[in-house]
Amino acid sequence: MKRALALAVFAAAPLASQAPTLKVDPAWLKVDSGSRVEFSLVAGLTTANGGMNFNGASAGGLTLTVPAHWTVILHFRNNDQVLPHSAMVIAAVTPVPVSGATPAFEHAVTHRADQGLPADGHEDVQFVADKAGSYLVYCAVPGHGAAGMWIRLEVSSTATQPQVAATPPKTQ
Amino acid sequence: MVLAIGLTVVLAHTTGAGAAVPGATRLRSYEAGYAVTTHVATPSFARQTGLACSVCHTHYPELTATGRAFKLNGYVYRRADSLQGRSPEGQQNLLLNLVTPLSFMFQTSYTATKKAQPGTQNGVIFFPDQLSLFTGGEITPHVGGFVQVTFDPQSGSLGIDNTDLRYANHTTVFGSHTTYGLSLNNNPTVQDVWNSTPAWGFPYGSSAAAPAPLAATQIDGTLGQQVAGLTAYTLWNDHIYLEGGAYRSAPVGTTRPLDATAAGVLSGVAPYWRAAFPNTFGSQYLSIGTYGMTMKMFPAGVSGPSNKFTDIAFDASYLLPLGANSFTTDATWIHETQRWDAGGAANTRNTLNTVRFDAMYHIGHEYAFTVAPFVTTGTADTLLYAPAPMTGSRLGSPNFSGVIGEVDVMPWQNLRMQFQYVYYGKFNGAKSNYDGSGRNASDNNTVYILFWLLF
Repeated sequence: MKRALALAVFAAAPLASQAPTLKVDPAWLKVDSGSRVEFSLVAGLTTANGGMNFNGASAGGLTLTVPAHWTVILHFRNNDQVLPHSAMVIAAVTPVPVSGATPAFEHAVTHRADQGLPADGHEDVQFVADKAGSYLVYCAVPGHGAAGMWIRLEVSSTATQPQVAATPPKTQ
Repeated sequence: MVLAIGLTVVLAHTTGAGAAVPGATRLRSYEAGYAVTTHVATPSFARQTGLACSVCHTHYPELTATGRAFKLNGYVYRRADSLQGRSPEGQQNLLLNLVTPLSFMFQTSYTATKKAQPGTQNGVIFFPDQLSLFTGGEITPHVGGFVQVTFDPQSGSLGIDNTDLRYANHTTVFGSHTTYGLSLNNNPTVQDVWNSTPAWGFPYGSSAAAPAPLAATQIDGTLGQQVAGLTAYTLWNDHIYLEGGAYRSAPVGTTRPLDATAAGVLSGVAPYWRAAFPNTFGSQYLSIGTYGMTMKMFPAGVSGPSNKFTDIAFDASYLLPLGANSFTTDATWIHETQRWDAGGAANTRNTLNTVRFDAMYHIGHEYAFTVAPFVTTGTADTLLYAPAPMTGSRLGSPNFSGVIGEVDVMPWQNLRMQFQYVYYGKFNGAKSNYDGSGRNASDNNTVYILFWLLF
């Protein structure tokens, strides 16, 4: 027992401050014909930021770019087994609102944004990105977005094809 | 809340009955069971999760969806740095917060009744009103909880307060996500995640110095810190919550094992049940449910005839988000049947009915305005509710009613200034001369100003 304990203490090491590099899966993005893009948006995909992430990214660590006027379909799924989450597209603002935000595009929100969907809950969100500009996809459950649960959405008047890429997260 | 420990012990040694006891002791026992309550949030949870209080609370201790999930999942969610240990085989066997899971609550208060209590100075200052130490959070990946220890300025003692330790996990049942767990706690409903049940219901802070009505049902705080219970719970598909368990006497400040000198001891165990059905309607949230207990209680000692109490309750919680603001309501109705087969009351059968409702409008997280009417009615009983100056009932009646108005100001999330006014339309059975000594219900109207610090 004493030996095991000693080894356990020796092995003790800080956790959670590690920031793994975000791995972007090309399969998240699917471009349909007719100016339509589908994106798999997974809340709590990894344990990064305590699970408060989309596709493993938090605080803007992932950017989805879509051409203006395209139809965007977000296949939202809550992979977090503990907390409820939702998704809402809002205008890019600083600081990220704690609660009470409104969607930047009509229908660009899951249906129970304040309460969030439970673990394994899923919903498709479809909207037309008809205004070029910088936006955030954020969790509208109060406090989650402010805790870093947001990624970026760029609606571009110059881009011709959608793309998704890791981007530097905003530091606190 | 530690006041509840000492005062309910007084009750236990007097009659063992939770509904009412004679004279001044009876008043104090009621205070212990219902009126002297303070419910709180724990900053140690905020330190563990890295989330502001407002993420889990609309207005602590009222829980948000995140707060309910955090509690149901055993208080184990974390974003703070941790320390892990592994066995020689590489298996993780230690996961500790690097942040010490401790926090403090300091309260100071001012209480004034419309008319001074006989022979006492009106305008009571408590400094502190309560002083609590909390420790809580994740213990292992599936086990967590909190323990509150509170200093009581009136007795000068330190005692155990609300405690909830739990195990939680997940599975899939009929294709839907299911959370399940066990809770080991010392106050029926303290493990509940809705603020419509007694342990975490409004008012969240109330005066220990103001007169309080005689009657309270057993589940309405009377058993707090006098029992220990183990319950099993499950939340299926985020829509059906079921819980069942049992409590057994575990009074604080009493010689063990319990013997002939004890009072108010439960015979065997007291079953507890809970069902709730939460749902969302657009952005609105509504949960309706039922809860209750049944118990046999020895009026004295640990054997012999017992009295039987059965509490059946219904409750509802509602949330309406309004941008950065919100509107919440909580309501409960508790019906208690009492069988006094072992004596202690003038009647062999009594009932008590308690209805409480609170409507709270939150302006951001800085202000909250609350109106909360309350009514209790029941069978008149000249022994349980006997006449006594200020504390008794001229009519032998448990009936009381009134409304609480409260304004809360929170310039910081962990600093609250609470301004509360309690109006009584009826007190211990009557509006005027309720005690037979000329005191009116309105004489007990109370101004209570409470200043909270949590850190």
